[in-house]
Amino acid sequence: MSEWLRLFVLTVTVEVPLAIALAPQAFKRRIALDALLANLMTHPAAWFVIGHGMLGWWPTECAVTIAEAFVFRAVTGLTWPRATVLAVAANGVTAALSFAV
Amino acid sequence: MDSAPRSPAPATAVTGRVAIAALCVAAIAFAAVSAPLEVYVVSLALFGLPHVATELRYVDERFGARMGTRLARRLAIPLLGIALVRALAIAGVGDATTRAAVEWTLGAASIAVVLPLLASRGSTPAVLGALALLVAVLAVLTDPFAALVLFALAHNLTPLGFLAERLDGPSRRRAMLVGAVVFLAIPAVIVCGVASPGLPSDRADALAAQLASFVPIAWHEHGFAFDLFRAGAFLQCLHYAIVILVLPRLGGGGEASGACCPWPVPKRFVAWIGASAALFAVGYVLSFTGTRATYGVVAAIHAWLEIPVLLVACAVAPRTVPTLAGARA
Repeated sequence: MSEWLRLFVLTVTVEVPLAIALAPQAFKRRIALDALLANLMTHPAAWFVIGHGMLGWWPTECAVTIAEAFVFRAVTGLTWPRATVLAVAANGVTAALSFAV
Repeated sequence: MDSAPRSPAPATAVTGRVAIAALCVAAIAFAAVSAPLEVYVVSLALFGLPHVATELRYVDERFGARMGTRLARRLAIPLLGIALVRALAIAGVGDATTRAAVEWTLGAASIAVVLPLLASRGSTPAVLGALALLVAVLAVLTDPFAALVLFALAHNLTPLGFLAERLDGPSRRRAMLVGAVVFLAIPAVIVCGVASPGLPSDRADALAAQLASFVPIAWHEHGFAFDLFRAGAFLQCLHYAIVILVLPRLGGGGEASGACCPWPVPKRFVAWIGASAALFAVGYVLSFTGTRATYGVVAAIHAWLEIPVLLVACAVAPRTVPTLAGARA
């Protein structure tokens, strides 16, 4: 649990500011909460799934990115291209960091 | 607050209906005390899914307009997370305590989502929201699994909140008085074990295997464990009865047009939930544990949704929507 919490905090510390930075001005406040909620939804599920070998690392990361893009589109109200770019960028950075941490 | 639809009925008919309802409550209490496992299993198998669908429809039609589409969608994120965690439980992924901690964290997030709305409507709703959030955080930090069991037990009391919100004047006072007796006093008497018969060892073993539905594991060895389960089975039946028989009659009132989901017309809705319930009943016969876990996914969504919904109901008054009759007038 504490290991999950440490990685979750690290993930949102990176992804939320990145999402705020990349979002259009009118969406910055909205996306802060939505990015946090999206991570809260996807991170524990990804943690369980990878930890128990149900899915590999790449498929899980792809599923997480798709889920977060969907949240940015359906809840935040970004266009599909922007929501996808944002989700790929945020998850790309944390995925790259996961090799280092 | 909207008045519930009322049709004038002769006093004898009302007295007759009250007498029948009282007899039904007494019969359920007797059955829950003498055969708690059978009452729990049969009521869950027959009415579990229909009650979830009916309750979700009522919540949407009554509170959807007050939540607004954006808030409803935002609320859907942690609720989907909870559904994912429950689905992972079916696959046997993770240990129960960690899953429960994650579920409470997501539940806390669902409360946090409505906090800004509550804070904008005054200090009382804000304090209520903060207290609910505190309970969720304490659950994560102490014993999340036991807290989840108590949450399942407490969820049976939500019809009281819905009736208090929906009714007004003398009908509300009557409903709260009756509700206090059937949802609080009778379960309290059952928990005290005043009229609890002993169970043969084989039935006691079977009941012990299902105790975790309403009784935290740490309390399983206590003397009141079986009686708490009996009270839980009784409350579950009453919860189902109010949700399936009473809430649809009250309906969303003037709020119904603001529902977020396009619900089918009542006849088609009843046909759909009847067919789904029949399918689930067969599932329970084939595999009780597996079907119970599958049901747990939708049950968790509806149970967690109602915490922020009831908090919003405390803060935001129903909007006034002209009814068809009102528009004609």
